[in-house]
Amino acid sequence: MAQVTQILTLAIVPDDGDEMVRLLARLDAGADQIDPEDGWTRDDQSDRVVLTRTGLLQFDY
Amino acid sequence: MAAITINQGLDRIAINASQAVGWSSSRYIRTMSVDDNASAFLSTDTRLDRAGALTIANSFDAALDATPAAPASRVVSHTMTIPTGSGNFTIRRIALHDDTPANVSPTSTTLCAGIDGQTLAKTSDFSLAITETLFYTNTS
Repeated sequence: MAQVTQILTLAIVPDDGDEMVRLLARLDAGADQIDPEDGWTRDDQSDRVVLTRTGLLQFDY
Repeated sequence: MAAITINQGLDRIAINASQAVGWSSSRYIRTMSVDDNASAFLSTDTRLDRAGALTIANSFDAALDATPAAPASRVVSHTMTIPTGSGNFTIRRIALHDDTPANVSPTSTTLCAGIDGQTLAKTSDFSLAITETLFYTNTS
């Protein structure tokens, strides 16, 4: 029997450097952004932040 | 997060794999959508609006950024990018469809799989690339 399961990855790409700084600041603020307890892994790259989840996402930018 | 593979999507996989009745060279997972309906997907869903039972105030869909790479260990990833000017609402659900964007809407019978239970406030400050990865596993 076959089964299909799914995971989710988000790459957030700000439209300029200032927005990138703002995004990182908001993500670093924690609490109302992304709750690490929810199982998201975060990868900060030069022009984007990549999130991969195994739990609930609470994100507001 | 609930991740649901819709029965219709499983049928599509079976049809395409076997080139059975209903097989079409144009019907395969090729479009991703997002919408703001907070309802959970059901395995029996065939449309985003559940045949008119759900109200979808905002939605956006687009073709996948590229044809997915060949499966590696039975894993296939599908990516769609929402531009800065689009999809600026609170994304609750993400879904995959087996037709072109021109034929995908909240009322189209194209739903193959989906992830619900999100709270993603997309704004015009950023573009958002969403990758939905499917694991095809043998449970026998």
